[in-house]
Amino acid sequence: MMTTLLIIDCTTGEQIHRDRTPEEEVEYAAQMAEHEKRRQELPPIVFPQEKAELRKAKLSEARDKGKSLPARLEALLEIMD
Amino acid sequence: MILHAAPETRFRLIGSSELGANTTTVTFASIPGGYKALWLLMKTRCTAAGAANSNLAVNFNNDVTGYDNQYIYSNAATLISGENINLTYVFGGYSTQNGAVADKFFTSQMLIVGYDDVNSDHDKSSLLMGGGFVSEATLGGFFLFSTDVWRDSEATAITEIDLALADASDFLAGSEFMLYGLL
Repeated sequence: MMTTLLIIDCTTGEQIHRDRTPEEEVEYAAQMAEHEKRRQELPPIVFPQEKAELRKAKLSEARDKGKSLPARLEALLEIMD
Repeated sequence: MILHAAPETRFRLIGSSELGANTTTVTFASIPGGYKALWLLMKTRCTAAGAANSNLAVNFNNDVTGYDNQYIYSNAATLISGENINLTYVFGGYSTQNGAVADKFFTSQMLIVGYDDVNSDHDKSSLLMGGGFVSEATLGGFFLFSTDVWRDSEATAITEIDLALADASDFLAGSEFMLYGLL
């Protein structure tokens, strides 16, 4: 699928809104592959929304009276970390 | 007696667009130097199918390495903070996904002080504040403060800013972007 670009030239004021050319698309795909490779080399990134979901899950575990006390404490400690 | 001097022009719009069609990447290119700071305003929604938010990825001068991020985030009563080290993009806040309640957009502003300094001892950094609702129900609201540092950029002027969605979705038509220079 073609991806579109909006290029705003802040010096001339010119705006170009167009699809990437097939050549640019190949270049873009290569850049994205490199981007993904670098991303995988880095430690896992947890962004706020995911972190909030994890926190909710751990709180739920800590409140679960069906679980052992050490397991509930462990869940609480993970939130504090 | 003059009580007030004539108002000065303290902000200059140096580039803007309200998208008329869905767009993958918005680029502010050939950013001129000479302002004290850049102020980027965004109001966005994206084509991702979910009903929450997608991460908005910002890159300076096409560099995809060495961004460190510290944030405070809230959603309804949940408040958390944290940091991410050595990212591939500046965390530009969120963009409302297309499954969210219609007409909801995420609004953000980013401040970049000393963006054109090439003789300083400080890396370029940005300060972002953003927020938005994905629904009109409880848990629909999000707010975010975030700061990012671009490593080893003390001798590099920012001349290009690229905006895209980290999940490779598109910005929806109607999204708005404005870049101001502060005098």
